Amino acid sequence: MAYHGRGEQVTHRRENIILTHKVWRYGLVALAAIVAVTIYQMDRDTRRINKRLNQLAGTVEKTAGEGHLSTLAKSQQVVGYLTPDAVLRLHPVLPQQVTRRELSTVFYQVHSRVETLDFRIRDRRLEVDRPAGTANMRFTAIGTARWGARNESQIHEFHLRWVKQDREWYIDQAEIVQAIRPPRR
Amino acid sequence: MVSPMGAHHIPDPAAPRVNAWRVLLIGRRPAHTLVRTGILAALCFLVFRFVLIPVFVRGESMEPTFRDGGLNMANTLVYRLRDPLPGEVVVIEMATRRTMYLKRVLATPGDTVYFQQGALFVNGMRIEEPYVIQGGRWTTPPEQLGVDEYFVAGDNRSTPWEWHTMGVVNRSRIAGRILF
Repeated sequence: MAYHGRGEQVTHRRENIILTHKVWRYGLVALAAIVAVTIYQMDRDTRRINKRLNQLAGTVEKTAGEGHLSTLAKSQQVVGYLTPDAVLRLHPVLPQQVTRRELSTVFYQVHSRVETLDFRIRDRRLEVDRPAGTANMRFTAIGTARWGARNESQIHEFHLRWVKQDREWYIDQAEIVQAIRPPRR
Repeated sequence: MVSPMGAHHIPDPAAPRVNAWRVLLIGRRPAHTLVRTGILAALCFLVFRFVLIPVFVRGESMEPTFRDGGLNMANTLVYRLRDPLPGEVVVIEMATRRTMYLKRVLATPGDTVYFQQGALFVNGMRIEEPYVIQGGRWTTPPEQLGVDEYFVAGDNRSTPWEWHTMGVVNRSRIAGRILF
């Protein structure tokens, strides 16, 4: 807008006083900074948990050509995501309830048998309780294993309970929830 | 063009020429077109997010009714008005509605259901299933359905039932009915 006189300039200033006033401007910048920092702080745990889950999924996967040493290392890494007394109910993939040690053994056996193992997390829902240091996560995962001429795929819904210990997130409970329950035998 | 008076309209040579392509693409009033586009986009988002969910079929458990790779739509409003009925194909949600099971309802709350050598029995009566082409020899124990429990299975019965995702599902998991 062009100014053609002193009077008109004053009028313009009065109309936009809220936007041009220094205090308001600095106030808005400060408010935006506070909101950004708050969102970053709140989101930090969410990002960390999601990153941990992606790392875990990467550990579970097996690509063609991976040897026994890699399998052995991964079987140790997998339990590193769990608390010492984690409760694992991963039926029907694993026996009714397994300990960390049993999980490591079963993981090693399965990884040794299959040629490739693909583990895809399709969608996830996460609720973080920051004061309590816990988080509940639900996600659907599709696992596809291939060995020889066989190719088997399973889809499951997982519920994980994460707890924060020593500034890091660990899985305290892991459970497979069956949306469709097979007939009781 | 004919004017209301019946005489032919003579364009004003002084009037600015309007690009026909521009008019076709963004209309005579771009601001109005923008608003209309926004409303249409919001409407599409709401409808395809909450009412008619696109379903991309993966797997062979519903063959031959639904082929692997097929595309369909699920109506999520229908079961807000009534309960699922036997024979209807429904989508069953998992962690979210982005990944769902596609199954057929075979029995409703209160029913006792089982398979005997591939034949379906509900409350002791044999049920004909014309949609099952790839039949099997399923034999399952009787299952008495509780309140809000439905029995679902796929149409492809060629694999052993232990390998097939079938059984009891809670009403709250049934997200909608397949349209066609």
